[in-house]
Amino acid sequence: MTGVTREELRAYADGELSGEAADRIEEAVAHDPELAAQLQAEQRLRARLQAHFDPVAEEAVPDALMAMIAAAQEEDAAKAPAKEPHTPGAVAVPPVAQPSAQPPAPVLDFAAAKARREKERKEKAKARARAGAQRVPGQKGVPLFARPGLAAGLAASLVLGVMLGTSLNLGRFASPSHDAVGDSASVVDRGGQLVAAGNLARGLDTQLASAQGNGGPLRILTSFERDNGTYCRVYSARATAGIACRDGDSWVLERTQANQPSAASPDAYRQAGSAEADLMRAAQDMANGAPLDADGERTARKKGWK
Amino acid sequence: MSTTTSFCTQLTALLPRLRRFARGLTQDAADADDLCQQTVERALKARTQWEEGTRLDAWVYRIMRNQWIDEIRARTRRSQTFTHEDEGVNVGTPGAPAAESLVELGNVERALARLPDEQREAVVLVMIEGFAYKEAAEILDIPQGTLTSRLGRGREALLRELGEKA
Repeated sequence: MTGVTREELRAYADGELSGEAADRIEEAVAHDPELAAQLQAEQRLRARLQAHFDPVAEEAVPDALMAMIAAAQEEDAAKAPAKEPHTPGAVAVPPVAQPSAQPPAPVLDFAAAKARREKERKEKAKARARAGAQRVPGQKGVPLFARPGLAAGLAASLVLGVMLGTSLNLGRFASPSHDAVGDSASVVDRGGQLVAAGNLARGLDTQLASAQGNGGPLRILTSFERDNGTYCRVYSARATAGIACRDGDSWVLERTQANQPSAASPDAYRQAGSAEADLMRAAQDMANGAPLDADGERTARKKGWK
Repeated sequence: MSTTTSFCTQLTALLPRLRRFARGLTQDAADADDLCQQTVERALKARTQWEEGTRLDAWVYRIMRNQWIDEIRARTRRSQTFTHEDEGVNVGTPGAPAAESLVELGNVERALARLPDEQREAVVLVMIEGFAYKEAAEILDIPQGTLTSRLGRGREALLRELGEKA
């Protein structure tokens, strides 16, 4: 053993460690098959528990519960009639309802994306329950890009991510409210378009899908060229994942989806996986030809993605 | 948004997670529904005590967990009076499972149900609900060291029971 205690390994599996402490575990796991097996057992257990209980969160919420809350809100509104609201019906709409009637605020868009994602997860949960836990969505029959090299590479990195928890930042310490703030600070609304800002914009400018460091808060899944010749990139950040396309000097977020906000790493990865598979499918539809290879990405970056 | 609107909107958005937590605590669909209902009732009654800007989820989870503890105690009292010990606590019909996961459902829920309450709630909060140790300890109102040791014993038992031992 490599001086890593069971407690430390579990803390790592639970997404409690970051920075050097996490690096140390990853290093040890990479060199110690026994430790790696223990970590996998922990992750399998977690995945199994979640595969079992997550479907409950995807069931329709009983009307009675929603009605109780709506009644309380009305009661309060009646007491303070001047104060109310500019989100009509927001409370009466179940979180999994169709989002079309809601105003296009980013937060609501994320909720809508989450609803879509959860619908898909429901289908996947069944397959998962059948096939056992620890499935990587990218592997199972999801048509990734036609280029076998990239698809294999991506699938391999997903597996590695699950194994080593390199995706930690997807969900590490995620608290929903903080996440929302953190990510929305990286997104600005420009004339009705969502545009990347801050760290997200920087990452889209500089990170390469082909040369991914461990555990940055942002991962680039792939880059491709659209029919109109502009570059697009599929990314996954802590709370959201999406497709960003170049428009002048900006990255316009063509699609965004919520990653599971509150789970710690191994399964945040698993859950994010289905959102990512979704995005990869969308990317496939948008792309003109195969995704960029490592050289193509580097060249595009050199030209400022123009 | 007014405080009430924010509270109600957030609480509504939490319902799916609360239902999952309830199922994790109770391992029983009917119990979980009752528990959710009671929790929402309590939360709404106490809504003026919630401070905007603090995490509503932890606040409501705590209400739910305390409500469940009360229920367990009440059942234990009843079962001590009327039936064999311990029956009232863990007996439950699993909720309507999809046919293909029936076996799995039995295993996971049975394994969880066998844990002592204090280990189960730690496991559920951290491993299913995804709370950080610190947050889970706050919800349970115990020191973090106590949480990690309960969590450790709980997952040890689950690993044994579910054959995930490496």
